[in-house]
Amino acid sequence: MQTIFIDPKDFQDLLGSAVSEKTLPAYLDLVKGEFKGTDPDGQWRVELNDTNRPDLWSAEGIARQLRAAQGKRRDYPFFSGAAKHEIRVMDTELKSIRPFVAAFIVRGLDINEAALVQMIQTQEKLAEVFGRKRKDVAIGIYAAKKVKLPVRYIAAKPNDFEYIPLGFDHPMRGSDILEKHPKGVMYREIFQGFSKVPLLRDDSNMILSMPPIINSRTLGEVQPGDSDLFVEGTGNNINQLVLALNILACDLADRGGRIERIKTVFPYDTPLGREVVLPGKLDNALSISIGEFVRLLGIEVKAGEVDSVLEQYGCDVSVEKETIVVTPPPTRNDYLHPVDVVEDFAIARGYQTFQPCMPKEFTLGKQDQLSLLENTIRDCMLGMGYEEMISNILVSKNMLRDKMNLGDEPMVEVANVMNESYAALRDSIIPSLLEIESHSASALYPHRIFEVGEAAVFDLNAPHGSYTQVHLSGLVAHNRATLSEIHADVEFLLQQMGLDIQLAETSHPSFLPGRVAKLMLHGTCLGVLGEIHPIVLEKWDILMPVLAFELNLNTLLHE
Amino acid sequence: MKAKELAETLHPLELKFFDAVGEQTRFKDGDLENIGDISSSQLRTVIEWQLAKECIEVIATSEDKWVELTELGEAYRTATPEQRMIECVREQKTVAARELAALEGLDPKEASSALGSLSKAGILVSPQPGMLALNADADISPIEKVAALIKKVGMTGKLPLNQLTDWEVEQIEKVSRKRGKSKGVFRLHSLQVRTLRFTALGKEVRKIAKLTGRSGDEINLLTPSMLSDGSWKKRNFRRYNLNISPPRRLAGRRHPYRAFFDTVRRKLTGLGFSEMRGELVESAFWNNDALFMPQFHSARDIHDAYYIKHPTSVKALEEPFASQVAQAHTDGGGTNSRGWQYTFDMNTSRRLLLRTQGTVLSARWLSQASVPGKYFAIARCFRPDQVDSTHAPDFFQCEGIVLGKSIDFVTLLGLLELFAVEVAKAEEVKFAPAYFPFTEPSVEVHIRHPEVGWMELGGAGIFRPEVTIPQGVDVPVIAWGLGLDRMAMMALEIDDIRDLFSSDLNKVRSTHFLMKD
Repeated sequence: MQTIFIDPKDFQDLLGSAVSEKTLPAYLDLVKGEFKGTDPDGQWRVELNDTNRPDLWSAEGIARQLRAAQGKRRDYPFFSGAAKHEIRVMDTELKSIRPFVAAFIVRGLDINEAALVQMIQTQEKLAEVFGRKRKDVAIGIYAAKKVKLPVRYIAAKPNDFEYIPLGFDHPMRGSDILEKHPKGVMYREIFQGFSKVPLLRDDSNMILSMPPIINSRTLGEVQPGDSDLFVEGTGNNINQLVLALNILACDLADRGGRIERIKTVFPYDTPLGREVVLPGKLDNALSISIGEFVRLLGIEVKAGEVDSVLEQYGCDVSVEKETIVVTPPPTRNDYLHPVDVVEDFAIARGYQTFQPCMPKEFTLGKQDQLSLLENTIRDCMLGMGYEEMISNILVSKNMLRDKMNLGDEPMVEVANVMNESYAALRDSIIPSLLEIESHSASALYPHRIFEVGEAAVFDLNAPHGSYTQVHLSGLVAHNRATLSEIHADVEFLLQQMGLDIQLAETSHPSFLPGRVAKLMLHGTCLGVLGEIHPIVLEKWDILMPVLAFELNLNTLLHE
Repeated sequence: MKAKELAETLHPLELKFFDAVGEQTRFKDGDLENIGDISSSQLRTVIEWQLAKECIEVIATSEDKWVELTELGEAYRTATPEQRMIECVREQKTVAARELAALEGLDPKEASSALGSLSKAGILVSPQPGMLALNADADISPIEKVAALIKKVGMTGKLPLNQLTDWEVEQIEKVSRKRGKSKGVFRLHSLQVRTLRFTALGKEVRKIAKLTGRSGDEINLLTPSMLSDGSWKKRNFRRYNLNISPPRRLAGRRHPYRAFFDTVRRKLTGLGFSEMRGELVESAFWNNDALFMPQFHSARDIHDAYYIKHPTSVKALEEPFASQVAQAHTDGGGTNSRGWQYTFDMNTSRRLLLRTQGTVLSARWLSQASVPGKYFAIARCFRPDQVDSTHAPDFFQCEGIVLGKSIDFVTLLGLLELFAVEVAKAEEVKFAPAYFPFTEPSVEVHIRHPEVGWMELGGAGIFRPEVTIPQGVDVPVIAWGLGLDRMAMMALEIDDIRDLFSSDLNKVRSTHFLMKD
């Protein structure tokens, strides 16, 4: 999901009709958008949820979608016609470094402050989000009057060229830009493993940029009042690249610019051929039968209605008997399956126009066996006067091991730890209960608490390296607490379920020697019971004797 | 009215207190000390109760001082060391100083101090070294006076200083036990004394209590012996005071958040849903790929999931699902989709992570689900967000699926309306378009709740064919999710999600579950 800022006045100019804070939210249903409020500087904040519709991540794009609904679609004639200029891809090595480049020219722009802000925002969203941090797509903009066409796309060693990058006032070697320029440091990873980098040079051999790192200051610094712009894009995904430049071209055309097409000539094959002209139409049409609408939506639909509703959503529709072919505008390439067309139809028609209908088929509802066992056990614990707890289960490793006086037996650990406090999944619930006890010395005693919850037990034999189990753990703390008290509780609990449990001697570093036992049922170990070792209590700063037990309910369920 | 109520609920001690006070309307703290069979600590308690009930009030406070004998003073009541020495010398004419100092029962220190003061006063003289004799002309009255004072104090036990002469007070202060001094004859006491009197309300209460014949002998505890000998028949029972707080009760209690889940589980099973459960550690395949999230999707960044350190990957993915899903991503496979058009990487799919969404359970359930079928899960999920008032390190999602031949968009809306009314008690429902990578069409549900107004209830949609067909499901499937944590926070009236998992017992004990149904 993307958040963009739009200037209310600029937006209304683009839309050609009045919109207020009050009326905007209803319009935004059409673009899967949410109005998030007005910033102190008067800008509207809008969140856009569809990650496959980058054409909507700008004021121009939202206005374009809304204009269609108002029957005010605009023609974009620049998707056909001859290309006036050329970009020549010179080196076949570029096919592995950064294979695709394309461009167009826009003339006659009258760019005000709001328009400039939108242009920068769009360029940023298209490169960083849609272009995945400039890897798939990056865009460069230059004052057209300074660029002498045709432009050549070449591969060069970073040591073999120099230019003044934006943000600096002296020429720098390509290798220095990668080393020292903030953008070089940020994006040089894209060229990792290559000895050469891509370079754009104009017909006077002036460097435009080392895409996608940084433009030349000489050619690539756009000044207020520049009415003609040269817009290029490079990247690893040609479909995404064409889409991004189409979107930018339409955005600029919506602001009064005249677009001139440019042809790129490749020395190697691309999915779109060896010659690609931009802006260019996409192979984005889809054919679908009327029956699909009926089946998926559950309402009666006629071809005529589909035609008019989708036209109002900016699509071109041609109907042939029961099959219709839908072509979305060249700023969209998100139709993967006929269901995508059906959704557009439903959105354009308005969700409020559908009459909800109750599910008709009978099904039986039931809880999972383990959940039922959990409930039985919880009821029993509550009956014995234990208070129920619920804890987070992504915890620190320290809490599970050192603070329990345990060694570093393996556990389910997170590789990309953000914060040491959330680095491992608990494999026992007793630490969670001790955590509560350590924060609750001021709560009226006695403390009898329990939790029934999930734990992940490390096991390399498990398909995922661990088993998720449900455990029950109980803890008793007060100044006269003894092991016999909790022993009686565990015995009562299991007797309630008709189970006759035996205690067996064991040793466990978290418990006092001689005051800890395994809970055995028919030779299977169900869990442990004992008095927490004062060494452990000290680590948790607990000044009260503590008894605890833990049972594995998965084992219990199978017994 | 209030007086009657107070009179009816008087504690036996309060009734005894009224008796002890008799007809007095004003009295001091100490006045009632030895009256009746009330102990002084009970009396203090009763006075505090009566003050709290505004039956009596403080009209003045003063400081009372009195004196009593120490143990030593008690020992001197018959004779002081000085008196005994004078007596001894009087009998024997001359006595060796050593002999006097060794008089029976005298502490050497006391003896030497007594000898010193007798010599200083000129009562004892030394006719020859080491020997002492009585000076017949000496005035021994001061010694007698002190002894008389000790006797006087000893007689009364506690003697208020204001009943003594200035000289006596001076003497007492001179020989009283002071802090840190081990010996002394007198012990001085002082106490803040309040002068109290009955208020108009108090007088009224006392009057009513007397009129209704309450004595304080009413039965407090009914005992088995009273029942067996029938003695209860001749006595009255004390009324229970409804206005005093009972002792605090500790009891077994469901955690409010779990209780909320119990309610949701009950409602969903009531609507015909069966429960799904699964593993906390999942493969990226089920978490993402099976849900048709392309491997290049921005939401699949390393920062959007917790990956497992060891083992990093699952050894083998479940077939035929892995191949079928991979095909759907690549070119649509048999789903009639054009797919995402990229090279699918099985190694990316094998990567293990902590599940980020409950929908992973729905994805896993598809191939084993019944048609028609309705399923739900309340699943713990994990996302690497900065932990704050809206993000917990792990959190619960409530999700599920509905499979059926007659499933379509209007049924989806109907189901959501059912959730809104049955699960969330909504008064009004609104649907808005939404985006999820795995559903199309997708919808967001907003409800108007009677107490909190408009809120987002959840999201839903119809699974994309790219999700269902690779799992062998050829009927439409609704996928839905409800924002449980938000609903719970509203029902529990808390505004910090971390409080749902509080490790402070006091906080848990004070959180109440508000949802009525």
